Amino acid sequence: MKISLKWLQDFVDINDYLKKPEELGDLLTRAGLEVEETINRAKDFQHVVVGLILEKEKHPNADKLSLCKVTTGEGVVHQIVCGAQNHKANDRVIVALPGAVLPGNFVIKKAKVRDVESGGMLCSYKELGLAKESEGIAILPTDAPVGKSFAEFGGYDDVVFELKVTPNRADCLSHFGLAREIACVLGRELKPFTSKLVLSGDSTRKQIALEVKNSDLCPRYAGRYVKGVKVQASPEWLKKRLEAVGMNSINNVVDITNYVMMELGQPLHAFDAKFIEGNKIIVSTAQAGEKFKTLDGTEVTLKGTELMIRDAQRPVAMAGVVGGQNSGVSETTTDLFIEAAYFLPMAVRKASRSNGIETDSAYRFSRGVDPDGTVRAMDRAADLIVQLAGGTAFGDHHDFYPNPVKKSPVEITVQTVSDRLGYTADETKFAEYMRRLGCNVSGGAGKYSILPPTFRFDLEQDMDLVEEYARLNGYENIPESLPVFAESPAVHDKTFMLNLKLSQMLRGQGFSQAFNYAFVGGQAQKKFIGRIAALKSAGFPVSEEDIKVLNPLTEDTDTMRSSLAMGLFKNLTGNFHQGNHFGRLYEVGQCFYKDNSEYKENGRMALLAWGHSAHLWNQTPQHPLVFEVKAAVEAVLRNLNISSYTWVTPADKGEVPSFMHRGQFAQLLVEGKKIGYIGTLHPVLMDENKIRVPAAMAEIDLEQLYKGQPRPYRFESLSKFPAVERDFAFVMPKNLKIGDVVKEIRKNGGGLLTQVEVFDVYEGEKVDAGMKSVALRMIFQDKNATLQDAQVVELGNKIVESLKKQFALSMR
Amino acid sequence: MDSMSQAKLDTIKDDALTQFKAAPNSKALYDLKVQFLGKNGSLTEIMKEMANLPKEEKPLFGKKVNEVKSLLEQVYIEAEEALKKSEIEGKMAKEELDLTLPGYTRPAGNQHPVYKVTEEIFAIMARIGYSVRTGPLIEKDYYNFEALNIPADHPARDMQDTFFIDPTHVLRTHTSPIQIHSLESEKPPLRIIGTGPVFRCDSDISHLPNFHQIEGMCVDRKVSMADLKGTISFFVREFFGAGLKTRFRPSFFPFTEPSAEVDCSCPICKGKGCSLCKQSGWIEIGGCGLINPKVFHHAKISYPDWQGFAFGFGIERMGIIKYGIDDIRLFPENDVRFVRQFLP
Repeated sequence: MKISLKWLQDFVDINDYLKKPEELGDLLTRAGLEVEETINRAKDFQHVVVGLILEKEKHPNADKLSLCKVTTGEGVVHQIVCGAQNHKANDRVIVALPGAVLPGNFVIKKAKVRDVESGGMLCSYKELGLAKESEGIAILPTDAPVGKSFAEFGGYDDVVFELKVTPNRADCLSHFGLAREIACVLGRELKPFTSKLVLSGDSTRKQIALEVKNSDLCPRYAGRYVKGVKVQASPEWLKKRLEAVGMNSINNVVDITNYVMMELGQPLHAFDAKFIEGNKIIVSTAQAGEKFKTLDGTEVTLKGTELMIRDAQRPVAMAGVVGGQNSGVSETTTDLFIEAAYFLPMAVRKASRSNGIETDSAYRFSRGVDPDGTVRAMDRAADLIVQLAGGTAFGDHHDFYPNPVKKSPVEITVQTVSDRLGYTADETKFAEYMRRLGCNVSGGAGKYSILPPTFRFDLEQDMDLVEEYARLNGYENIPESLPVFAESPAVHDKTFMLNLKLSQMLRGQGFSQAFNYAFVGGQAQKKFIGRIAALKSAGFPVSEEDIKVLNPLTEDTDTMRSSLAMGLFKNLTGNFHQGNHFGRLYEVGQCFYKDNSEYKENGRMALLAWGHSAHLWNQTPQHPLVFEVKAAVEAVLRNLNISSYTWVTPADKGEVPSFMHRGQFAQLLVEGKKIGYIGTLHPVLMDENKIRVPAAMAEIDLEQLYKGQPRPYRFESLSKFPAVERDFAFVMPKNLKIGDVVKEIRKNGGGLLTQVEVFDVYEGEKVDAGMKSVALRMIFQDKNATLQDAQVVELGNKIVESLKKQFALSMR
Repeated sequence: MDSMSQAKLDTIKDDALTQFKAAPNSKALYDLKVQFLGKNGSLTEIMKEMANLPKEEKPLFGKKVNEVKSLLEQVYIEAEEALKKSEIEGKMAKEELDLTLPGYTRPAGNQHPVYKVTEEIFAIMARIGYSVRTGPLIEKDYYNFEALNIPADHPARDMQDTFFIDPTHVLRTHTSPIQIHSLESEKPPLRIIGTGPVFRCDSDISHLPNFHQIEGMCVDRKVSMADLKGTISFFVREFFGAGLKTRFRPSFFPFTEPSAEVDCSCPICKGKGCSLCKQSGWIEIGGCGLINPKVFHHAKISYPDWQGFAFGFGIERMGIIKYGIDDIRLFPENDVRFVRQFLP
């Protein structure tokens, strides 16, 4: 909200701050009314003054230049070279003297122009940034006072604050309101607000009847009739004040209603009385489906909950939000009905939000307008209208106010203030501050009953007054202490801590952390994942029905994600096209699903690896990346002490999500339950996105993964007896899963078989087509004795025999 | 003594010394050792000649042979050592590596700055007794607003542009609902840190629609603004560095009263004024205040028997300030060149 300091001056003396507005701004900011920007136009016009051309001659060395002698008062004469043609001797002009800095950072200094000294510049409005185009230099009226600063002469000496008013301080949404706050903060007098309105003997109430049907939504409604006005342009002073606070001038009547709103914070509406059908105003809620055309011609269909101002036939305004096109003030208006009301804040906000109409009026009403200021504002407007638009203000105004708003007193002790602030509050100061705030103060000896003024909607309980004391006494005076340690020790959220641990493991595996939005594009996600059943098959809790965002920013963020995969794939695309042809990323985050109309979240981790690193200068790694991802997942399993797991390839390819390679995909089974998948990204997907390096991914359900954590473990004593290694090579069908073979070996190896390693897999000329050769190393060790050769041979034979029986394989 | 035998012994000694010293490698040296000192070597041979000597000369001759033997053995050991040393030097010279070549490693991954900041703040606050909590991202309107003293159609709702899932569920706009969950399910005294993603219907060069917050809540028998200021001041010094000052400015949050915006002296210029702090020397880092009694009322905690304070920070903002990240949009892009810069 824009605040003009000159306007503030009408209500509080801040003369001493006009030269140092930043100090006043700082003071307000420290009182909780943040001044976001100080617009000081006078600064643009420093060293720019009104001058009088004494003589004008041709420049001796240039045909198109003139040489002027210009006085800026008190006998000071400057010689100035000028390129314009439209001036003559005795003209009053705007002179930028050395030291001035014009818009565009144009510094004025003494200079020689074609060998002649020039001590300044005669300015055009364009050069001063006041016009887009201008013909020659500005020639001022003959009464322009020579020597006066141009800022002052042109009315550009106002300073405007851009004020950020928090929703609790509606009382500061006007010049009068802010002046009241400044008076309170500085301990100064607020200048009294007086009205000189002269009323005629005619009765408003006889002219226009009033009926308020919903007094709960409209606790107060006042109105006054003004007859015989002339709608025309506003005077300059009014235009300038509105311009200073960022409002456009429309006509004198509309400008006055806006002016009073900016001055007193009370939104007003002026109806053209001739359009009030039946000479009656009815305040009641709308009928659902009823149509209403606002001032600017927008037609809205009313919901039925809006409070409306109606005449005998139709709605003429949406209460507190916007006027109707059918009854607005225009050039042909002669008689007015001025409305000033107190509408219930929530009702106005609801009407404004639900119809998408935001106005300065709705903004103020929904934050709270002083119910005690209604008539004052109405009469301020009537007064200005009579002054500027003529006409007669009728007496006997409407003031429907059956249940005057009463504030409740707040009981408070000074001890409470001290306790809650952590320093000793001063009782004298406390009472003084409360009085300055406009409260009615009673009590003493540390115990008070404080009745806040009606305009302070936010003062309801003792803590509100504690804040006021703290604010007026300065937050900088709050000391620093540390609270005594709570008696209960910290117990952290288990999942959060496990996530930290998991993150550390994944980083140890070379993966860097990513963060993606929890929402994705619904259409894109459907296409990316394919059948949601594929995610279900991998063990994730998912729902067929997506969780949609009702009001998304874009269609790329309209659905809560079902998988982390799409986000990471987006990161892959982005990275690859940025020239990052190698990378490892992981993400730990929430996925979403619906369960019996309840919204549920499922923690997941996902890994993405793309490209091979230039590992070492003398070798180029060729391994399928999915094995790198697999190794990382297995490292996590090992670190979480999960030993019972297997990788299975679903027989039904429909269980492979659309983004995965159908031949390079496996699901992870932990203790018999599916908890995720690994796989290579689908070649077509890679091709479509022009990613030219291999990439693999994994996604794991963390709720399942974290089951039973921390899993306790105990130290196992180290065997003092030697281990025996035996290598075996088998020829087996290509489609036989080595994992199954190893499982069978372990089953038969028993406790003496401590390790099985695959150290070679060969397919090619040396074995039959459709077959592969697999070399395995088994390590045997007895904890309690030296293994005998015969034992190892026997165990080896047992393993081989069982394998031959189980699978179609042979020793090589 | 037999001069011939003596002369022979001298010759063996001289030959051996010369040849030992000239041996080109340890193998040749060893062969020489066998030739002179071995079982059938020259010295053994000459010892055999001792039988022909007169009895009285035998001890002297024997002694002399032994002297030569130990001399030669000594010389052999020295020669062998010298040879081995030069041989290993030669081997190493051949094996010289260019150590300016890149090192052989699979580097550990890096933490995303959002979580790095989260973890740092968490660790700092854990030291003064705060334990971490999380909560759902799809939150009931009640927890996100009502219980935090933001009733429906209250203008305070305008402070947070909200994503709705349905009329009674929102994507949480702040981490403050975690406070309510904690107040409902745990017994005070409480010191908790709530953290995680939050959502606002706002996206431009300085706002992400999905960002992160961390907030703290302390509930105890007696809690004051001074305690809050001291706590935040402690945090600022630990997180941004010693010597930084903390400033409170009055503000408004529906769930705290009194409320304050927190500024800290700019960590970049140390308060002198720079582009980050827009020459003010101060930088806004978050909001805080004493818990509004209305919040306690909603959570059915008896006030003023229990009192409390709460504070909250935007994590991305903390990262921007601490690490000088110049564009908030980098956070969700996950460019590896970005993430790699955040050291463990």
